[in-house]
Amino acid sequence: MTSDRFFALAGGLAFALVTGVATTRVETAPAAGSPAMRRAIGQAAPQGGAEFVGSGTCLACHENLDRGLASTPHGRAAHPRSPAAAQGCESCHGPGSRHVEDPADDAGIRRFQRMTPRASSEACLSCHVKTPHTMWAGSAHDARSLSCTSCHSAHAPRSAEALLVAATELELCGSCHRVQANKMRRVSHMPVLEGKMACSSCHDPHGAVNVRLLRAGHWINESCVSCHTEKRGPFLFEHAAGRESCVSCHDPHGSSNDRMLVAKVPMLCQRCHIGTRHPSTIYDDVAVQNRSNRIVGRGCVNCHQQIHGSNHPSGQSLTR
Amino acid sequence: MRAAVFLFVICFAGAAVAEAQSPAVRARAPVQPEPDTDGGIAGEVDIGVRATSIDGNDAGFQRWRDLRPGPTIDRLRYTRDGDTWVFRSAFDHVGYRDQRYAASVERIGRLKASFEWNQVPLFYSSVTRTPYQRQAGTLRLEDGLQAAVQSGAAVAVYAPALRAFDLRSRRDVADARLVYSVSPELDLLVGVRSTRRHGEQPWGASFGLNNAVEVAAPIEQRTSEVTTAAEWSGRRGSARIAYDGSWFGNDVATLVWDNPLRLTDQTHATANVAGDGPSQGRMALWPDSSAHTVSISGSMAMPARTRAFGHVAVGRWLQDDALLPHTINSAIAPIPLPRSSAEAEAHVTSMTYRLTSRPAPAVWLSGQYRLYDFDNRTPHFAVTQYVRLDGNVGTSLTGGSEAFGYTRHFVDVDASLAPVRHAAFRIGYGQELDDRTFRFLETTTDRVFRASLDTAGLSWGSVRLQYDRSVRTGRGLDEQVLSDVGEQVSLRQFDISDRTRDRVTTYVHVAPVASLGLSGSVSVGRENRPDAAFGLQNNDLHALTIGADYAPDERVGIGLSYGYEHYATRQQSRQANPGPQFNDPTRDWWTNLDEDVHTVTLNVDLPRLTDRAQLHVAYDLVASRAAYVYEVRPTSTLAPPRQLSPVRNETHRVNADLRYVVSRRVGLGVGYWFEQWKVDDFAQSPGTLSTALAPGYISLLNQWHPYDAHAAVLRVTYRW
Repeated sequence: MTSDRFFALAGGLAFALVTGVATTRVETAPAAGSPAMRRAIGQAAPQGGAEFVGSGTCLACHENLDRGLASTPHGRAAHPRSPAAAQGCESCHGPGSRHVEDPADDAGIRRFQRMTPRASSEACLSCHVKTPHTMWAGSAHDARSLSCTSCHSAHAPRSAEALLVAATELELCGSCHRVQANKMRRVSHMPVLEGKMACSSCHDPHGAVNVRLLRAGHWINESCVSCHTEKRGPFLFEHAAGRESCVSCHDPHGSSNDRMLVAKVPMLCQRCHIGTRHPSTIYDDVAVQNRSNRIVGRGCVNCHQQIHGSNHPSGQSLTR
Repeated sequence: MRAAVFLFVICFAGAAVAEAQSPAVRARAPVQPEPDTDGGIAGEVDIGVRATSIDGNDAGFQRWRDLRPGPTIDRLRYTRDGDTWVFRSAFDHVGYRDQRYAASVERIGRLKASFEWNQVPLFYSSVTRTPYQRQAGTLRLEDGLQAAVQSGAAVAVYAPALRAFDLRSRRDVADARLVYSVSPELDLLVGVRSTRRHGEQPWGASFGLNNAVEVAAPIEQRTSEVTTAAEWSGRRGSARIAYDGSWFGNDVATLVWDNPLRLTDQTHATANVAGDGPSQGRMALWPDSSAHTVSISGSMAMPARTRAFGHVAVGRWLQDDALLPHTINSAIAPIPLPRSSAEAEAHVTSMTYRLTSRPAPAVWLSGQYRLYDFDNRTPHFAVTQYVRLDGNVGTSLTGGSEAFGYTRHFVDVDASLAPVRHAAFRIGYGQELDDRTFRFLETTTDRVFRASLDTAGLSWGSVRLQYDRSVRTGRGLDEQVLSDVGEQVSLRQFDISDRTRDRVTTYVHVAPVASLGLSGSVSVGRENRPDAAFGLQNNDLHALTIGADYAPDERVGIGLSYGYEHYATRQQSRQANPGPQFNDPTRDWWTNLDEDVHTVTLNVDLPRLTDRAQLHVAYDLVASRAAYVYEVRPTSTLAPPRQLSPVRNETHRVNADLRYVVSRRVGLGVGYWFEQWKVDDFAQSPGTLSTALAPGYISLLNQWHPYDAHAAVLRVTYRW
């Protein structure tokens, strides 16, 4: 494992060196929010030759479109990184003189709804250059051709925060991730419906260094133990399958089983444990009627309660 | 307490109202565009009274929330804006167990500070019973009753000692965050978060196969976290360096509880089965631990719309709690410990390198390598003899602890081509190579081929389609590991076994007219484990959703959706003791799971029911049925199984909210919640858990209990 880390780090340094050299050949983009950036905003717009006309000209026709912006970060001129601090409407939509001359000319102005998803995102990412947006390129959503405007609306957001096109994250994310959203309504679920969590409590839709766009940590378990810290360990005795991945046994989106398990116990445990110590047995209706503690209540976990790991010297069977 | 907080917030709201209405404040009001259509409104508060009626288990309805009857301030918002600053505050469910308070102040473009206090309750059950009395981390039974059972009485003698109690826990989260922009290019971030978790949780506390006990384990834990980061974004890229620290502390690190079968200690060869060895048990609860991670990341812009991203994180996970003796049973001679504390430590290293390029408008390329290394450096804890369930001494099969660790390498390459403006076709390949220790498969490789078609920006709707095929194979199979622990050598643990998986997901959204949206999705997934003679063999999913949204004008919005999910798994086992039975195929049996879930959601929004009234109604139905069906061979030597009754869950939720605007500043509202849960669960229904004092299982009666619940709130909304 040490050699793995060494080679990965050496590869990373080589990667940084090559990209660093390549970067010197790119035309320098001005830093976000800098005076150079404010000057440059809009200059890369497709409508070559056009000139800035000022937001007042835009609002002469699009008279209501600034109302939704004013109370959002985009509309706050005091923020040096905001469009309002630069060219106003034209910071995002590009210089508007050609559009003023011929409003029907699509090429005359940057219309986000008519741009390709990646061209649209590129415009947003020219300012949104910090975490987590630095991880958008190559993320799962980028790969599926989503754009910033798939989820956000600068002018007509429906959410209280984050300028979302839906009133809640569950509604927004659930418009594509239907099965996951439906699982949130199962009897065992995270407190998303109750407003104590949201999809973004665990996931960062802009990109992440973890798998599955998980916000915290670098592997599934790190995300889970960022809240369930007590299960972090390391423990003297570990449950190997649990240390590998929490989602082998739990469905974090919800389930019809206690503790969001993917199946009921003992059946779930019997997927891996057959002969160890006490043999795998059919716990049928006879066992239920006899109140067998192998199936009733917590099932296997009636005894193996330290299923996530034990710190007891006699805890090798995860019972202490 | 609830009343005190309530009064405090009333005072706060009153003060805020007074402050907002004072001429001096109005004179300082910023010259700025109106923030919204409610110009001049800075605050809003909902004050009301709630009535609640629950027939059944209160905990089901209030699992994550507090809907007790009484006066309420369910929502308070207060915002002040200046040219260069913003203050926001939000109070929710004031004075109740799920209350939340948040405030932030921002000097625009320079500094943002925020604080949040958030309580997250978890109500397990209101019908729980236990004969134990709690004293810190010790759970005691009456000595006289223990003595009676030791002398031959049935555990039913504990009936007079049973006490009813609410089983609940709560997280109290305090989170403070500060972001300071040194310059437009450089941000500094400091975050501090403290989470206290307290209360009780259901917990298995067994003394033997025939003496399982369920207790309410006390919880008194705190997690403290610190995050610091500096992030710079410049002309050619960005860079970030961060430290994250987390400390977990448990004030109840040891649980001691009485044995309902014994008042005095003893030991004998089958004490771990009968559960009649010790007079009390002792176990180690969650140990204190800490984790520290330093990370650096950066991104660089390159020619041809190419961007490189790199991230390296190095972490240490530490846990060194003092170890308990092997047993609290005085009849067992002490067994020396190899060391006095856990000395558990893991080095966690993670790296991500990603290169994404769009050399032409229609072409997108991405490549990524990730490494995740969990290097468990906990020294081997040698155990030749140990104490089983505090009952008797056994010989370890494994010889002690196994410092399980793993290294994962991920490689992903994807290419996307957009031949027309609104559609992109992508193909990709991914490979995950995992090396691990102390499992029967040392190495697994999961190869994934994927293809997708996505449309976007079309006026009539969108289509998304993805197929992926994954093949996982293992190397270094060591069946001896399985044999050593008494397992069937042809068992394949499902999380690492050889496996093929095919998945197709489609999503279609069509908007034939502007007022109508129709959508549907289909997902089909199939997993096969051809080499798994024992263990999970198949795991299939079929899911279908359809939905419609209708909004003919601004006065009406209706949404209806239906979802169907079907899960099917098959697993094989063998009921066999060591000896001839172990290799006897006539003792094989299978479990087939078939689960069907139906979900219906309906939303009706009438934001302009009248000129002054708006109505929102939502209805959810979730109905699931899971059948676990046992199967044996025709020639089976096992007793024919008597099948379990299917597990049924059915939840109905109705939420209605009517608001009436009396004036620009005053509104009236009525909210109503209805929730009904019907459940039939062979393991947890009241019919199964009918007594807390069953022979062989003293439980908390932590049942899955049906309920019907109604709650209504009448409120006045005041805006200022």
